[in-house]
Amino acid sequence: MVLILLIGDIHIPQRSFGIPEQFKKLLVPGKIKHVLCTGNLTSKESLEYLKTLASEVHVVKGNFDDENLNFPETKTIQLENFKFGLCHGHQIVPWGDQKSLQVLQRKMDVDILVTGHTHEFTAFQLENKLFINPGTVTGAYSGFNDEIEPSFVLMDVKGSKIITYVYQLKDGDVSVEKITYTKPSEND
Amino acid sequence: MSRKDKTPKISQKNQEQKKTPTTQVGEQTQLLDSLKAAARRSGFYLQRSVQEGKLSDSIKQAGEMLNGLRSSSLSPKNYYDLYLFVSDELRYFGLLLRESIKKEPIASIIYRDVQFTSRIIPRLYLLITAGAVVIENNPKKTREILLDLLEMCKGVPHPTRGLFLRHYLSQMTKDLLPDISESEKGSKNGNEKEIEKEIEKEPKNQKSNENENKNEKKNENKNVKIKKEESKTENNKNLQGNENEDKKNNVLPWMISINFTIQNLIEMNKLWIRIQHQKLPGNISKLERVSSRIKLTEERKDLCSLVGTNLVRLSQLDSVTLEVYKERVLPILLEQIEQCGDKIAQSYLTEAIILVFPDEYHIHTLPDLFSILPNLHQEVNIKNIIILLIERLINFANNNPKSIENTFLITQIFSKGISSITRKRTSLPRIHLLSILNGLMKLSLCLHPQRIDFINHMLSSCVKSIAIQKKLTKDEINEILSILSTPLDFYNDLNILVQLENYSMLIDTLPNENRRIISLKFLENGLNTLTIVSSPKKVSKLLEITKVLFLDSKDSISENEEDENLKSLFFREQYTVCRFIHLLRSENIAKSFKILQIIADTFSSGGTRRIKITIPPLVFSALQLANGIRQLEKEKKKILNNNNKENKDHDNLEDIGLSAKKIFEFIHKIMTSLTKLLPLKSLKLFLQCALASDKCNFEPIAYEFMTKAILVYNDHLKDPKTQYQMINYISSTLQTLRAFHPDNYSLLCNQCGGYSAKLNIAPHQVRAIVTCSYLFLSIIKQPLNIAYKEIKEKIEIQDEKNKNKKIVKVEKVKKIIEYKRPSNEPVLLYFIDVKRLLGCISRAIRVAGSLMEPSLLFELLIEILNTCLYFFELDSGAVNSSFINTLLDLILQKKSENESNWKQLLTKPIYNFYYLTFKHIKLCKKNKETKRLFKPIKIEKILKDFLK
Repeated sequence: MVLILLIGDIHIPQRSFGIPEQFKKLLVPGKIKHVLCTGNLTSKESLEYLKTLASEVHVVKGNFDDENLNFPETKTIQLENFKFGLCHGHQIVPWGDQKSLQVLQRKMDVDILVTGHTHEFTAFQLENKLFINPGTVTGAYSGFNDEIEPSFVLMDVKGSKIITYVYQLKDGDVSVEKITYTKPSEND
Repeated sequence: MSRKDKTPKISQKNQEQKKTPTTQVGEQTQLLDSLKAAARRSGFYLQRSVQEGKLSDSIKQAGEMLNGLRSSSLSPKNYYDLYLFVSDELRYFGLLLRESIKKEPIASIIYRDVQFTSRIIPRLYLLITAGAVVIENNPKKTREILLDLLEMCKGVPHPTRGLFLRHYLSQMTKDLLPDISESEKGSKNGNEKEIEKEIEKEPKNQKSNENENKNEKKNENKNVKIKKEESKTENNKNLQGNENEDKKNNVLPWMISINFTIQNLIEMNKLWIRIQHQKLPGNISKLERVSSRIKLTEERKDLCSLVGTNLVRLSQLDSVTLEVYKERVLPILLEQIEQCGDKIAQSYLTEAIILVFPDEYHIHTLPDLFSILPNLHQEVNIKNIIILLIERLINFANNNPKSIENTFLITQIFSKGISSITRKRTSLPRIHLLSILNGLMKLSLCLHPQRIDFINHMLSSCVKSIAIQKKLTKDEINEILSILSTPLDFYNDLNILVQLENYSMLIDTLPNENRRIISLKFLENGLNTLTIVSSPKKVSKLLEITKVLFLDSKDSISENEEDENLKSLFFREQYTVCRFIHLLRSENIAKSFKILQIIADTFSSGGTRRIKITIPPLVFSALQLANGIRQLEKEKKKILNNNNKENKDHDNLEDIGLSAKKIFEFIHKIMTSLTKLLPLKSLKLFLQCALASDKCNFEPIAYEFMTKAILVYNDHLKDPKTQYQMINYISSTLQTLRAFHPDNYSLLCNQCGGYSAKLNIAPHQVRAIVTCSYLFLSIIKQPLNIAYKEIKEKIEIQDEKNKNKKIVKVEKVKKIIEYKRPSNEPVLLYFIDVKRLLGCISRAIRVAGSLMEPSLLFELLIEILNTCLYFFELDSGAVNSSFINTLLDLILQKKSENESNWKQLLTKPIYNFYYLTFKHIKLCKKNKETKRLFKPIKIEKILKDFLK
């Protein structure tokens, strides 16, 4: 069992004063093994914070991340039986488009594609692949999305099975949703 | 009521004891050892006599043993050592006396026998021991014996010997002092009143008093006689007065205990002080003299608890009620403290009183306590006393909430007391005054937190105390920082803090680095407590208080400073500032806008190094506000449409004359200076503004922002990679915009296409052009249903104004089709221009084809294939099946042309990408929904090629 945190579009301090307290209480060090960050941390303090949560922190570059931080545009990470693809998503046209995300998934040849940028949690399956956008953990403002709720995703990976927990902050309360995904066996 | 058992110790002990010359130390040790040995010897015989029950022998042995205490050569410390040993041994003598008195009532005989011991010191020790046994056996004799012993002790005027003798007296009688019993407690109040009257009546003249009281003896203790063996000293006025009263008020035996203890305390204090002034041996050098004095002072300080025992005793007496304490105990103690004039005694006794008596008593006697403080010795640390008192009161108030009735009065007494001290004691150091004010502030916060004016007043006192004198010391700075933190930590609410008018004045007294520390703490407090400040006025004050973070001042650290620590501190500060401004907002739009303007005014004066950091978050705050206004307008329209005019919960935007347009003007203004400083950031921000203004349907504004972004691109970006990333970003932003008239949209598309084609690196060019192709098939589907509704609304609204407009628009976009997705959700195509779309694709293929490197060529062709499949799958008619087939053939052809080095050149990721794309097509051909669409796509050749 490996616990993975999907988190991104933090935007502190440009768009937000910080991660909601309700989330901070949940995000305790020592339990999470890997952090997959979709980018737009926009400060080194945010990166330092992620590093307190887990030893393995994977970050890709968001459109508002400092050029000097040298994050890659995309990254693939093999965890258990899954190949994860990580990309902020502002490079995809049209933004957040499912079919365009599918193209990126093919290009990166991954089982699970994790992207951000839209500030909205989404999870869907296409052609047996899993697409996840953990949204924005701070509920940061977005120019093209009105109803923003802070969110992040925890993934419990076990062999070929993933249980995804979606944490969303709605009117001050944390709601948790559970999605199960099993990797189909490759036989063609 | 809590009573302390422990004797208070002197708070400031000097750890570093000055060494006395070794010879002297050696002599002292030798002397102590020999005296102790002698006492041990006598003690041994004493124990034997006691065991044998020989009373007269034991009197003799005990007397012998006590001889050592007659020494005047021992230092106070060593004398203490010997005293402890001897007084412990005396217990055996006490045991024998207790046994003897059971057999025959010879109390007074023993008492008298003992007096035959020739030397005064041993005799008095034995008398005290015997006296205690007599009292124990016959409590009726208490008064007589206590007074007798007290008088006799006066026969030892030597400071050390007298002090220990009296301590012995106090120790031996501690359990014998008559106190008010539980049953009496009920009627205590009545008694107290009686006493009060008596006290009022009590005449100064003792003789007339005696006469007056002669006839009033009625009780069983008639036979009590006062022994006056030794002449009265001049200091017995008190006791005399008490004696007279005792005679009269035989009902109140506990009064004896109080008077006895106080009297002993006073005498002991005098002796204790006199230790300081003992003569030193004449044969020592000047230097030795100084060090001996210092050592004496230290040793004397160590003896404080001997005196303090009496205070503890008093506090343990139930009869010392608040009334008794206030009227009979404290005045005498304070008088003694004031009169003794000794700094050590004054400090010790005052602090001891505060420590041993219940806090409730202090609350009711504060003015009395304060009355003596200004008059104490100049070297007495008044600060420690006041702080101690404050701490006790705060502790009491916290443990007994609501038990203090007149809280204002307490603070007032303190305020007055402190100002009288500062007036009279010119030597009070500034740091002490600051500490006192800090303490007072804590007390005020504890007693009446709602009185912000009090706190403000104290801050002003701090400012005044600083204004007069020279540069602040490090300790003073720390104290001021602590003062500033006190209300901050207490209230934890910046909305309250900003009401402290003098707060920023006190900050201003500090040097630059300390101003920064406290200002940062201020902002961090807001962030930790998530305090929203929603009033423009308060925001102004807040920025004024913490201005050191926003503005350069005369003592700012210079900008060229290369110190890494200073740099990182600066960035940390600005990071906090940026986070903080998100807490400054109101539910009321107009107020929020006012707040933004206030912040912008402050930021704009911050110099370039700050502007670079602080303007972007301000822009986002403004964009968020514009978003808020838009939502509100949307709601208003809904309400108007529903003819529901009763609902007036929201801001009336017309009343405040504010539209989102103003916000964009504001952003435009604050960003002016940023373009040159941070072109890349500005470009991104302009795109954000375009997105926001597009959502507000402000076409000209959105157009202006897009143009600005493109202008920055053109004028400032030189790095090829950055150029490529940014033109892609501009294009993909434009692709989401909906407010434009198709003509304007088309113009912007041309610009994107133009700059994409100009990119210097071929793969960049191909990919940027591919991105542009999406501009000509713009789809609203984020999320699908909402987007659909929005566009419908837009058309409907336009319909109301001009019915033809809809038709014009539909014609202009050439084709609006509704396309059924697998989920049956409608998708609207907003803008479609097949010719230009295909133009982009063709151009991309052409540029890619010119590349010499086969692997890159294949990667780009597969990317283009995927883009084409995207358009094909939408069934928009933009890309048809034959176009896809041609492209597939082209890829196969290029592959076969390079067949020889295919395996070498085709790195694995590209191969996989190609294979997965093929797999996707295969799936679409099988899939029910896409089967029909994909039927004409030919994959047999590719399949054959893969199988090879």
